[in-house]
Amino acid sequence: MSDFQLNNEDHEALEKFTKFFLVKAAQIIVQSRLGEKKTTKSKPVYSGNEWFHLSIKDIPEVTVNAKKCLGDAQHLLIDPPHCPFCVEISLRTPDCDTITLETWCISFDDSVSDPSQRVRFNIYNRMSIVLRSLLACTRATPTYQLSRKQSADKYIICYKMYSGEPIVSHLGEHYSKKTCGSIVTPIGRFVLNVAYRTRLTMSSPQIENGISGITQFGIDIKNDHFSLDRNQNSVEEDNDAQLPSESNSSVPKSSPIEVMKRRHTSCDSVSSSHGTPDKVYYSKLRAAFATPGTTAYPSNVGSYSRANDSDLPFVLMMQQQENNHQQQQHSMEQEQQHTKNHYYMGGDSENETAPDDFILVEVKPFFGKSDSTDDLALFIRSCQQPPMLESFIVEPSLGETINQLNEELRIFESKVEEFDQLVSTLDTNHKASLCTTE
Amino acid sequence: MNARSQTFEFAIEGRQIAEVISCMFHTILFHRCVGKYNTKGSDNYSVGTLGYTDIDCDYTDFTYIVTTSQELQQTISDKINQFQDKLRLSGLNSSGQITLEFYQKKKSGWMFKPEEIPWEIWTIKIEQMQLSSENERQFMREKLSDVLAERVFQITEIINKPDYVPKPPHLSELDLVFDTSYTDIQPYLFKINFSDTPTIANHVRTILKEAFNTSL
Repeated sequence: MSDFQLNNEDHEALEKFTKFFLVKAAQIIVQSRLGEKKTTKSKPVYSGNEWFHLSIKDIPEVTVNAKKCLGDAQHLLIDPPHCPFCVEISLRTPDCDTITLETWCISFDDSVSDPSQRVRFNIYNRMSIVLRSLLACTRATPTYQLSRKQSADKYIICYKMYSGEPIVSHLGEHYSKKTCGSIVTPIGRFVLNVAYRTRLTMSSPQIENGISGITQFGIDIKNDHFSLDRNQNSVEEDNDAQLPSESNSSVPKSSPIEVMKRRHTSCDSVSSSHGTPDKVYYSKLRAAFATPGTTAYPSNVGSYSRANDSDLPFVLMMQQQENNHQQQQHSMEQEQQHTKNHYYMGGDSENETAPDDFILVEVKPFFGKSDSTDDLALFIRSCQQPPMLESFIVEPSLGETINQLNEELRIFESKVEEFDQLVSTLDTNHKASLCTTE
Repeated sequence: MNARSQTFEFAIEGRQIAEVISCMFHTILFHRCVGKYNTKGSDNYSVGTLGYTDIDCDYTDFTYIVTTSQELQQTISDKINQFQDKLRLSGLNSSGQITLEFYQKKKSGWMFKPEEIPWEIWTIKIEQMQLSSENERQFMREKLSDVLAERVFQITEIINKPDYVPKPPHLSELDLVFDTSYTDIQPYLFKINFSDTPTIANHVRTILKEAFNTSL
């Protein structure tokens, strides 16, 4: 801690400069996230109300909030315990989901000082330089490009001010931290830092039907996510989202929430669309194994009764098709509504679902042995529960994808003659076959 | 006194040259300007206010700050365009460097012109690349915005170090430290030099020229 004591006049001046410095810093940060380009005039003649010789127009609401925040803090920043002043920027979607993007922090450290610095000249000018650095740095973080693309139907950028240690736990695992500037005073040092998120995925936990498995994926999914129509649309949208367009060329930073949501949504939708037809198929397959007069149907439909081995399953299906059609439709609807519960449990549906909706049925292959270790049974089981495609687990980065595509193009270009030869051969064969038929 | 120097290197397309250099130079100059001094008497003066403007890059997704001054922007733009044209005419994969040098003048006798002593030199080395596919161009566009962001933070880190900056002199000697030719702002004295290929011959030529000037 510095032993140097400022005289009253200098201390009052430093207090006043600090207050305006913090308010101006808050103005710069908030105004840079409004989503529009700024321009202010250089004035050759000092008008008397511009602090730090910088033309920064104040938004009244921001000034009021900043002053209130500073006023609520029990001590000034330059007085112990030197509570930092923080401005937090976050993104909010129309569904009111919020993700913190960055935290700007102005702190005061009394372990570094320089008694030779004059408050009214050196420190005032240094504060001006640091505010200019702040102006430049606010345009250099990924949040700036995000904020330029905000709109009410996509997302909006919000701010929050507080006194205290900066909260960086909301910024995700691999957040980045940068220093914008520092000012050494006779009694300590101001430091202006920013910590910003580098991975833009939302992780809002949603508890539905007592299942919190969704949180492990860190994905926010709407209630109507798994309807069939939505799945098809999501797959189509994903093809556009994965390839950055010219207007969206700073992907993934410019619209990361949409891209990431779509990417994860499409993964899920592809998997679930892979799963959903299985379930539809499975419910149809139930009828093949249903035996007439089975009291357990539909609860244990699919259990192949050995009461009468001579009855072929398909014959039974034909006999019961009309009666079971309505029941099948009802069970299919129930399964689709509960599909999301099943999916994240890795296909293990027996433990988590309501007993009336879905019953685990042992796969008994028709025309085959009932032993589950039989090759045919294993084959049917592997068809019904295939592993996830590797391309949905390991997603190559944009650079890798582009390199891969370039490599493929190079290979194709090198083999142009072979392709031409193939086409001409096919053409010749086709013409020859036409001649033969004539 | 030795001038401190900093060099940034970029490997970019020809059309991105002007924007990259403009971003770097204007970020530096925004910190190396003061408001216009208005003298009210022999020792009284007031300092004007600096404005700023956001400029969007066309060939990369980045926005940078410039000091709001038509004259300053014109001066910088002319020099950068000359350098870009020279570099692009030199060939597709040519390289060059452009420097922004801050200096102060020192009077050295009534019959000699004041000595120019640099105190800070910023050098940008450009290597021109020729990209063959749209995918490469897109990749470069995104990568360049990250690089520019990193450079901006580096510039602010360097400028905020407690290194030498000329102290404002007496009002009568403002011209020794500041460029007072601008009507709305007052930057520190600076000049922009460039060469298409930084060769040893050019370097030796520059050293000899400086030695000759200082000896007069």
